Amino acid sequence: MLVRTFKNEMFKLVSKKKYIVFLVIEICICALVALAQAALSKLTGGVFRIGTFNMSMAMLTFFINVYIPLMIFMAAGDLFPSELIDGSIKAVLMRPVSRFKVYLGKVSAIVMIALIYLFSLFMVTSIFEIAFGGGAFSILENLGAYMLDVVPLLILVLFAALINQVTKSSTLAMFISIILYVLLIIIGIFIPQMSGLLFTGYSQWHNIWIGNMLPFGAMISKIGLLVGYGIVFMCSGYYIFDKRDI
Amino acid sequence: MAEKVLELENVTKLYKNGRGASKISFSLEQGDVLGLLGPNGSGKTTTMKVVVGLCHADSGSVRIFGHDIEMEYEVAMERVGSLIEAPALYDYLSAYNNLKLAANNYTEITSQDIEHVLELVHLEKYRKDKVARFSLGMKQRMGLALALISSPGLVVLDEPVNGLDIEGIVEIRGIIKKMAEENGTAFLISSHMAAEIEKTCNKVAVIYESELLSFDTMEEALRLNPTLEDYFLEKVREKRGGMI
Repeated sequence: MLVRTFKNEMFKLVSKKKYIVFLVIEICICALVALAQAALSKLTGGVFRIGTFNMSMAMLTFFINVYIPLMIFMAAGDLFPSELIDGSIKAVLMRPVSRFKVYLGKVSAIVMIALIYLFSLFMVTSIFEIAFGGGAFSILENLGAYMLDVVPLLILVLFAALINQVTKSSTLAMFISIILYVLLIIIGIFIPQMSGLLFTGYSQWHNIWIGNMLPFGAMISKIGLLVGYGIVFMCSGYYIFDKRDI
Repeated sequence: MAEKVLELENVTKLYKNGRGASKISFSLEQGDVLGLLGPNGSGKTTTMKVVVGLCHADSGSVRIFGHDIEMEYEVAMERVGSLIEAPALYDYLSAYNNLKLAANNYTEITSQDIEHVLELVHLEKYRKDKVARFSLGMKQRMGLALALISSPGLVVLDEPVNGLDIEGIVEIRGIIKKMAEENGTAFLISSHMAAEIEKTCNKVAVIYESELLSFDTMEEALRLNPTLEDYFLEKVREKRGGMI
């Protein structure tokens, strides 16, 4: 039943054309960046070569910190408060599916949207890398870095789902999510001691992959911290969702 | 003895403003069509929301086909169809896809079943149209289709004829009576229109100011009163100690 709930939620998100449009925009941004770099390289006779070779990683930093979180906040708003406002949430809650499965189905759909955006980015940038002379080795290396970023993304989805339980307005939920997200990032930048304690401090995990062996020892404690955040966000979000009277 | 479809025992759900439902108890058997009659804000919708699990009761219990709604939600809701307040529709999806999403929550609903229910509410011509373009009456028909898609044993309908024209009202009444008689489907219907309840239901319960004032068969209700409207007014008068 959980799989069916997930499929239903995915179907709803995909039916909203904006998610397809934003995916096309993502691809267009990558194409424009690649073309601009290629043009600059040609104009300067190869002197100005901003690293088309590392395009996957360069683009990942922007998309993982800005673009994909925005998509996550938008999808959470569409699946939680928007459905509460227009009453369509009843369509799921009056069926023989427990609220836990409904919540998990919605969260899974948001995770899937985030993964589609993330790995579409990987595929598109990899294609451009190959087109501009990248090697197979770097693509595999990049894939590892992309996969590493999945963990903090999951926590961000659970965070967004929790914030969207607090308010019945999708606009307000998006606003609060963005403000809190930016605030946490700023705190991480200006108080570096705090960065390691905030879940937003791990959105650049892909950086530890490049050029080094993966420091598994250090990662285990960090993963433990992220799992802790995940459990708190998941339990709090589900508790509010379950107790809510429609 | 007919199977108990729905049992409410001292169900209380009161909101901060004091409204809601207080100590509501009644039961339904197979083939029963119970009309909850009461003015706006009397507690009809709250009672129905507790029955289908949209609200959690402060106290009391709801059992559907013997299963407690709080403890065994999925099993209890397996044979329930409902339309509470406005139809729960995804405006950006077609009529067919709205039903398809609902059908996905059950194991045995085929695309033929979806077509059948669309024909039942006369929306087969509009199956590919987005629900956003539907009129109020068409949306209400879609709400009914969603309630009936799983061939439920208990159907909970909150003001089901809202927005329907005369033909639509008669058709819906016909569907309810047919399902109750032929399949033994039990219906819990709310309305503030006594005439509609009188024509559709075989049992009636009056809810007034959050309390259940009476629960009778339609025959009994009309034995001493010329119309259900008079029955309702009599019960309200009794509650107010003779003043109305």
